Amino acid sequence: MKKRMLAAIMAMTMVVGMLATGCGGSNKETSDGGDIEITVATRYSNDNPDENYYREKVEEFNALDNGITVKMDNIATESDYLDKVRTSFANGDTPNVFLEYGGSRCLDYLESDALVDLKPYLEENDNEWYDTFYDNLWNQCEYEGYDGVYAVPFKTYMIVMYYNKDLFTEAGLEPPTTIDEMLSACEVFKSKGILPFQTGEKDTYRFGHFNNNLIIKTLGVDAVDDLASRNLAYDSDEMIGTYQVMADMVEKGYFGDNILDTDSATENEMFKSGKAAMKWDGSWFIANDLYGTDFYDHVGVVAFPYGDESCKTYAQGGSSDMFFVSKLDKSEEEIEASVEFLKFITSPDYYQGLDEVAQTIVPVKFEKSDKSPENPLLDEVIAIQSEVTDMRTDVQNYDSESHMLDTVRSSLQGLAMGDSAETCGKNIVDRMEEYSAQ
Amino acid sequence: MKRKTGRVFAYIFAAFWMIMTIFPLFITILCSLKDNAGITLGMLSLPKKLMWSNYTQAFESAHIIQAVGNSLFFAMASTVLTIIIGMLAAYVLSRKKFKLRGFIYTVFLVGVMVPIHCTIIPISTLATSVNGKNTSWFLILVYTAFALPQAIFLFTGYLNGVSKELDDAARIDGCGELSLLFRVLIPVCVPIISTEAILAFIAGYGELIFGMIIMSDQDKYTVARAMLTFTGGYKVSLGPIFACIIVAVIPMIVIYLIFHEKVQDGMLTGAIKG
Amino acid sequence: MNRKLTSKFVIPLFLTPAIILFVAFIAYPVCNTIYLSFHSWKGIYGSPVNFVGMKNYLQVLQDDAFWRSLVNSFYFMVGGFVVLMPLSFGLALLITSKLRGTKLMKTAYFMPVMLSTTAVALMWVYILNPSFGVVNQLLGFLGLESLQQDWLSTPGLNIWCVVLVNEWMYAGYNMLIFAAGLVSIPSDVYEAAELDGCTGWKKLRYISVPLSKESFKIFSVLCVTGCLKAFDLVWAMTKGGPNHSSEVPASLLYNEAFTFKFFGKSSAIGVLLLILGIVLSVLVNNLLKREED
Repeated sequence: MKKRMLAAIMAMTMVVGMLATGCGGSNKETSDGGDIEITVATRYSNDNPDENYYREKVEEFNALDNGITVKMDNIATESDYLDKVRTSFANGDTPNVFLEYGGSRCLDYLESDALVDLKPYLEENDNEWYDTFYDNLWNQCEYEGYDGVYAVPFKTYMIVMYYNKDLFTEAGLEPPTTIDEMLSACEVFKSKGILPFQTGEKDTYRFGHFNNNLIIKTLGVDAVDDLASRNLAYDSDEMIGTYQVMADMVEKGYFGDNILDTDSATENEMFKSGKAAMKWDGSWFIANDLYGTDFYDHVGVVAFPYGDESCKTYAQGGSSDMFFVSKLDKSEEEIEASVEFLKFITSPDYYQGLDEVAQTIVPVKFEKSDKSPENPLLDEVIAIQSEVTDMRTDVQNYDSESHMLDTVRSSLQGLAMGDSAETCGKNIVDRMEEYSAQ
Repeated sequence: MKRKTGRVFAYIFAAFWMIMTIFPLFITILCSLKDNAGITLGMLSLPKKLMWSNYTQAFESAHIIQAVGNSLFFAMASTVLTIIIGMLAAYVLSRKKFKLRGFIYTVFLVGVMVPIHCTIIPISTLATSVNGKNTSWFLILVYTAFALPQAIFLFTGYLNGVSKELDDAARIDGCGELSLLFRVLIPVCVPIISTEAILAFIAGYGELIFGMIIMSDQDKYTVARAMLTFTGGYKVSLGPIFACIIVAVIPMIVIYLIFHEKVQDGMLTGAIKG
Repeated sequence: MNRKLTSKFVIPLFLTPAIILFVAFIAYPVCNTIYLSFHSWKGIYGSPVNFVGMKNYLQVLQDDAFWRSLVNSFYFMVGGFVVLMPLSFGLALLITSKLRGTKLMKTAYFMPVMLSTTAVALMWVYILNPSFGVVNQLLGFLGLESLQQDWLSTPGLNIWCVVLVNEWMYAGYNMLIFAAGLVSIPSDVYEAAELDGCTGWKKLRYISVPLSKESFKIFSVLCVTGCLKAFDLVWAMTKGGPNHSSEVPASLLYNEAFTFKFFGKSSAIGVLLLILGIVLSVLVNNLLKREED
């Protein structure tokens, strides 16, 4: 009796196994031996127009008769993706091409001589490839003390201020251009019982981005570089000033209710249901959440307000996603194939097609085709971008310590828990000391 | 009289806890038919519009059926292996006297304590060096290895409670080692074997990290990995995730019920404990 | 054939498969962790692995965050013994009893584990949300506004919320372990007891509990070690936040390695957890043994 049950389970296991592998077996590509196979790791496994387009284009690349087969390994969530990429680097079995976000988190790869310098390829044929990109993006792909270019930008972003047009009209307000205007708008909304913001600070990048903008648009882009080189301290008066703005906003309830218990998905829905008047977010918000919805027409967009006139034309932005090429245990052919693939995926053609299905700001200059739909909100963002004279991405991305992003964001989260601006600065500096004992 | 109140109390508590644990199923079903706004702004409310498209997305984008098939296969195979290997080891650890017994038992026990994140990199290295990347057998062995310490722990503990007189009687009847184990002891251990089978199956079926590190091809995705299809950088689609959970939970309930019947059967046979 | 298998062969023969798997997938990673815990490594193949002696350990032991996380996992243990143990034993009694509807009960009780951490964590996060969560609404409805809390963002309170959700989720899981022990208690023991007039609470106290001591032992060890490794639910509900207030050792270990790439320090945390796990299991075992005597 028991034996029969065991046998039954075994049989079931085998059947399921055959089904599972059978399903898979059918769509396995029949590689004709000569192809070079490269693996490309990204986070683009989502079911949205932009990432579906990416995967389609990769299939298109595979269909080309160029002797290269790309195997995709896509994992959407950041922590899981990093688990896999970091593990692959730890045991030397890396993907040929991988997505990362630059800055200090990629410095270790460079120090260990794991990355291909792409400069020679970019400069081939009189800078042919190099010139297709916007110039101001390259600073993120270069590292001090290392010659060369170690990444190509793939996606770009800029943090802007979205606002609910209806609520602003009702309140008789103009969208804010300065921090002070923003604060007084907050006061007006608050007094009318409308949430000025509803921040999803459960996701720490929310305050992180806000603070980035305060630094960039009050202290300027040089302050970002000074923070990274330790010429400006995280507990300096200037920096405490930026925390103070946020601490005051927390105290007055401008950021919304129970912000620590609100995640970014809820923040988006609150804004989209007209419950909050303003929302700072990346340019991605248009394609991800607004385009094609009824709410689209009710949204306006302006540059993130500035705190100091001299910083008016600075912005938080740059490349968000970048592609790197690994040279750990990789043959010359594989590296050539990887570059070939990158050229394909960053070509103006690629972005022209992308613009037809999912519109956002991109790192490459291209001609809009007449198939691209109207998107006035994005046009606004592009107009704002054209005014920008200098950009920095996440402030801690320029830091040489990889724990800084988390350290600063966690301490900023403390502001929402009632920490004073001074405590916030002290927390950051204390944590830095703990780590520098390393 | 007293017995009756006890019984009433038992029923009340049973019903209370049933409500406490079954409502997530209803919420999950509700959420699988809502969009993000419906979920984040009112998780418990009824959907305004039934979003059957969540299921379409689960089937078409996440290939959830295939993922369920894969996970079923990995989990079942590793469960079977865990039980066979675990029972063999537990038999020796419980019934034989030898020098290293205590040591080996303790070392196996360490297995239940290892933090999973310490093992990812070494195991991935191992996978590369034995060509185990992207292969089912390697993943099945990983799942088996991680379920094994608990299985040995549970089986040995249970066998220790089974009277040795049973062995003696069997030996007098002329049973060898194998038939003693398979004909006499395993039937007695059905309750604990079924229990461990459930636990090992659940662990393997829902596992994410190794399924993700070792497998790269989409046609070998496990359930947990397939669900990641809907969690992106700045956007999460909650509805399809819940739809995937519903699809994935059905085979699990069936298997759970089949095995737990066996635990109950143990009640009838379980007259041998000393 | 079978009869020729003498004890001498049986011992190595039966143990070998388990030992092979154990060595490859558990012992090897553990040794690797111990090795790395005395070194500093950035986690890139071929990059230098430098010997640093006890530095990683000193650093971990001097880190407030580590001690705070240990306190949090201690809360998990307290919850485990005070709430989870009686609860799961009670549920096991229910599903192995002669009450009606046990099949439905045991399906329901095990449901949270089957629905996966993702689903239940997400659900509880929304239920505990202070603005529109059910818990606060219920308290408001009962006129107990003063008891309304920011459940998951108040340091000190949030970890207890996670602990209780953990007990709620795993009650069904541990129920199975207790049930396996209960069903193996011979029915004639009960019958004999009933003849002696031993019913209800008495039966529970003099038969069910004492005869389940093996299950309690198993539970204790699994609980202690499980609490030290707790990760998934914490990560899904609070990510260790806000501002690291609900961090547990496993989430620290994870961050040090996979976010900051300090693989040495992370390994040191891993080794400390292992040692603590072994010490605590031995302690618990001895404690239970003493009670037997």
